[in-house]
Amino acid sequence: MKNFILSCAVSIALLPATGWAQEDAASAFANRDFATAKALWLSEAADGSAEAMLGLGLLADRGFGQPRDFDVAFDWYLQAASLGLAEAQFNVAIMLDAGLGRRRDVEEAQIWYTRAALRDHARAQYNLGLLYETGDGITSNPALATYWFGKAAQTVPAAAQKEVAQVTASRRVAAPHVTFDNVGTSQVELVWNADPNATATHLVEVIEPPRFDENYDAPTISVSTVASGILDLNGLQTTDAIWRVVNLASDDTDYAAADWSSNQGIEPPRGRVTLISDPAVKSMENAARVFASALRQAGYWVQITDEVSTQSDNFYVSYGYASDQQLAQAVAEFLPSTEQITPAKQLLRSMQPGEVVVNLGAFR
Amino acid sequence: MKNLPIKSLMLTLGLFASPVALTAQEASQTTTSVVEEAEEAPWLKVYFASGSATVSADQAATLDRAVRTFREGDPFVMIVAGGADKVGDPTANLGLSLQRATAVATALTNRGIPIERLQVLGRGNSELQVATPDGVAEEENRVVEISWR
Repeated sequence: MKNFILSCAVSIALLPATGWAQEDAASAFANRDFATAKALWLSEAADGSAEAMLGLGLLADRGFGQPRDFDVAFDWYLQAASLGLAEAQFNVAIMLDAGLGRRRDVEEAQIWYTRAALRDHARAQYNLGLLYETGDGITSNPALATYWFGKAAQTVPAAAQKEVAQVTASRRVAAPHVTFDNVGTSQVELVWNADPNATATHLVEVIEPPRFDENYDAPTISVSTVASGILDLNGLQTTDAIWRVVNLASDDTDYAAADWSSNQGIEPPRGRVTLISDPAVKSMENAARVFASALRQAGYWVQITDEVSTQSDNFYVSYGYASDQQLAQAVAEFLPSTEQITPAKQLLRSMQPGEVVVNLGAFR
Repeated sequence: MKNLPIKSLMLTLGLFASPVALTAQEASQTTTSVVEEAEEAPWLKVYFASGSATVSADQAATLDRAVRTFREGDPFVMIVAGGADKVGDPTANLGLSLQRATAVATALTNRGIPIERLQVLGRGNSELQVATPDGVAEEENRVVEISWR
């Protein structure tokens, strides 16, 4: 009996040393068998596992089972981060922010903090708040600091206690600076920097362009946010899309937009024009087609509709935002008139920045 | 970071007992490499008023710097080591140094650092930043050092 107990004890004691029952890299790592962990993670990383890449980054970062190497660590973190793993995105941001093994690059750090923050990584949200609060290496932005501290507040008590002094001067619209975009069929992710004096609301539009002489559609994604990025994991049905980020005035009277972007080199519209026509009036319908054709040839997107907005006054040409006055004037020059057309500013329901409404029924 | 785990008078709180046991095991297995690995960014120092274990508001920036270097992942341990100057009784100073370290550890967990990643220790009057005779008030010694490995 004594021998039996002894042999059991010896067997149990030997188990960890022989590596028995180490099913995966994580348990090998936990048992400090770094060689096994590395071999398993290398194999999984080759199959595209972001978690394995993060593990390989940690091994190099800490110097477990190998010399410490920030460059190797960063490369693995970056690979995992590019696959969307928030912890790896956070580590990439930290190494860039602290300048570990490389020159400090706060603008890049901000992108990676934001990408992790958009995936609800609370420490990334807090650190991003700190960056925007202190303006350490970037332009400080109290509104964005407050936003990201607010997101982190539930899990990071220090974030809940932050009181960031806000810009008291009047806000204006300023085109956002888009620093990262990944608009694909599996996801839509955008990161931007806002001017510190800009108003708080940003509108993101992702639109599939109209084919040939079809009507243009409403944006596939139209998100209004006070954040400095969006992440939509529902993706799109097509890789054919154009997108932009727009800063909106707080009273919705004006905007400033970043340039349109696309994957396929799609020509952005000069503007979007809604032609309201009454199909029962044959001549009006024909005129609508003629104007639509001319506008499309000039680079505008056009839709012809018979829906008269009940909000609208009976203006011939109208636009919703102050910055679109010139656009509306340019559209008006395609239209018949015996005298100078003066476009009217009226924000109709569902009107987008850069959209002009022409009510052919109001032609005199 | 030289000889830190071995020479310092290490006190651990019940709160931190389990993670510290884990890191102690880690240290015993990799004593040499731990010492060599430890150098990273400059150490961060949080200063205290005489006799006080309260983290003052003007030290917040230092704590925020600490969380901007601490990466995600199990292997990273933040070491929070408290000290005291040589004013007063050495035993009381040992307790004070641990209280200071604990205060900093709490401030770090408030900033999102998981508690199990922290190793908290009080050095009392050992390993002083500035060697002084007894009874000398020295600001550099009223400090909690934050380092990581």
